[in-house]
Amino acid sequence: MGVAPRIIVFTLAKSYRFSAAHTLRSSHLSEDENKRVYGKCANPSGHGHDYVLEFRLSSDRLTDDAVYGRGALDQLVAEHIEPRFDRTDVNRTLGPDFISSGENLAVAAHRLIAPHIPSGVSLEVRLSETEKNSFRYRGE
Amino acid sequence: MKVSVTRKARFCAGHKYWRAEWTPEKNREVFGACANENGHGHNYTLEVTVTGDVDPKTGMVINLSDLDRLIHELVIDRIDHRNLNVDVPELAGKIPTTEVIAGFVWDTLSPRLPVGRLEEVRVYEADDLWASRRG
Repeated sequence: MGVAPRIIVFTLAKSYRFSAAHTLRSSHLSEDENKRVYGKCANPSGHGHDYVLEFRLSSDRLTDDAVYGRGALDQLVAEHIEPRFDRTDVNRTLGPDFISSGENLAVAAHRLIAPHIPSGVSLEVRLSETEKNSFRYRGE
Repeated sequence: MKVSVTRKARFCAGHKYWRAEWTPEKNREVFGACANENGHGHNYTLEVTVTGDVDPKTGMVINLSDLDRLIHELVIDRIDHRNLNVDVPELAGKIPTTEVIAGFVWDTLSPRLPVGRLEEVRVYEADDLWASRRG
């Protein structure tokens, strides 16, 4: 048996906090179904969370001794994430039919940042909604 | 579009590491303070990760209230404030290590998940020690 090649991967993770209003509501479901599926999260006047959004960038090589620049990541987040996620109602900022589940917020954050990340660097998004609930999307 | 969701739950349980066929000296040598005769306990944290496609109608992989109910009915209610060496039939004859607990949670939950695939069961015995079962 041959020796498996050694695969080196560097990962940089940086977290950002944001506070947002949301309510869980799907236009595909009736009023009763919305209440049944989402429970108290369907309260039509909304509620909110202190979310933590973590970006994990991985690469098998370093550029300027880094997977990616912290300042560059801060700038991407300030430009693409903050206006839509921080101190806003994510049901409004992410589209009229957007269902603001943790799953969909993680996917939305990934889609906003991934196009700006250089090829050769992979992006994983982790979103924590409460201490008990977290979500992960790797663009697959 | 595969997304993973993780739900956390806590439980407190007692246990002791002891292998009956070993001498007390060997138990002490292998398990250290965990072999103390009268047992001890931990505040555990359980993390259950389910991976699947996001249902476009609900925006969810799995309804987290349903997952929480399953975790509590099938697992937490059976191990919280129990002695893992004597109160859980599935663990009979095993040393209730963090790995064994993770395996027990996996075997209990995986056949009962209504949707998605169980990806990982992680059990924190303390802040500085966890064990997991995957795939």
